[in-house]
Amino acid sequence: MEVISAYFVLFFVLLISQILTLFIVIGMRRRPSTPVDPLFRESQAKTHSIIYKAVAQANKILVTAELKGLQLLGKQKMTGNELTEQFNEHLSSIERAMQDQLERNAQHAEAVYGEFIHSAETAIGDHINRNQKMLEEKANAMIERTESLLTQFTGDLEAKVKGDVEKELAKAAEEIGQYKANRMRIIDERIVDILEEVLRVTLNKKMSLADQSDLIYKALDDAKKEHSFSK
Amino acid sequence: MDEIQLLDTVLASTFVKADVLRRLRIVREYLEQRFFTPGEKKDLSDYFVVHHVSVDDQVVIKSWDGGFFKSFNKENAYDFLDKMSKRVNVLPTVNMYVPIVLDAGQTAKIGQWMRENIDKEVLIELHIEPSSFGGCAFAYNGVYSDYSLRHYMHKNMDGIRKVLDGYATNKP
Repeated sequence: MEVISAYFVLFFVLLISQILTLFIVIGMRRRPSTPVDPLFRESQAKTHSIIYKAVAQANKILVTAELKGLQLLGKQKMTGNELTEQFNEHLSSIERAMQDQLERNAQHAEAVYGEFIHSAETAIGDHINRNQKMLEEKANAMIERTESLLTQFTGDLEAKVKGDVEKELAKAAEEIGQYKANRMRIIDERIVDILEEVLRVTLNKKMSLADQSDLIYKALDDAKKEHSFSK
Repeated sequence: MDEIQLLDTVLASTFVKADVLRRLRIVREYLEQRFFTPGEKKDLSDYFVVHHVSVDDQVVIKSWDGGFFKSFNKENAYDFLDKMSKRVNVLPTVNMYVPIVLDAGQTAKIGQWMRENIDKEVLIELHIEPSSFGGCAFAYNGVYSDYSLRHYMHKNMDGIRKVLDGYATNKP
């Protein structure tokens, strides 16, 4: 607003001074040059001089005013520019500050984020490693235990099967042996029966009573030797 | 003699339990006719003839005659005989199973052998087992032992098997 009002005042002063100069010039051209007395001339010279001085002064004032106005305008303009520049500078500084701040914040955030990411990665990595290690340890322990159990189970099963098979074999061998012994006993009895019958038929008539009595004595002697009477 | 000495006299010449009991019965009957039967009293020889006592029994019983019959009288005869019979039943006994019938001499020989080797008062219970052959079998103190030919064949079964195997191997 100040700049606009300064321009308006300056324009108004210039207009007045130009109109006044124009009136003076027109007045001088309308008066014919007549021989006048010296006083007149002198007064006219003075008048002219005064007018001239006035005009000069007016021009000077005008120029001064213009200069002032220009200075004012310039000053005012300069002030506005400065303000603008200051504002711009301020804005720029703020912008820069904000930008810097933002950059710092961004950098900080990025750094923090990076650290966080790094720590998170580290923590996750450690956690994953721990979990993996724990899983591996548990898996290894489980595998070892499973292997141990399987080995033990296999061993037990093998021993049981082996024991069962050996028992069955021993039982079968015992049954075979028993069957064989029974069969042998039956065959022996049959052989004894046959021999006894043959001997009875062939010897009974040939053996005297004394011979048979001797056999009884021999049997009693053998029984005594075998302690059959002391049982 | 008391009843123990009397029984010892009987056992000294008698080894089979059935013979002991039979001879004690003969003695009892002889003493009854001697002490308690009215009428004529027969002497021992006549009594044997009248009652058809076997020759073996006669020989043995007559061999006791020294003081044996003089120990009996009307008062003690039954008592002694009862005690002797009861004692016979508790004496150790061997049950013998033989394939032949043994005569008195063989029986006495076996009896003496048993008195010497088993028990001085042992008695024999003889059983004839015709199905057996050779040797004998006996049961003593509840244990049966077979020493017949069957026993000896079982004892030598390996040799018999070898003989049979050899026979089977060489058989064409």
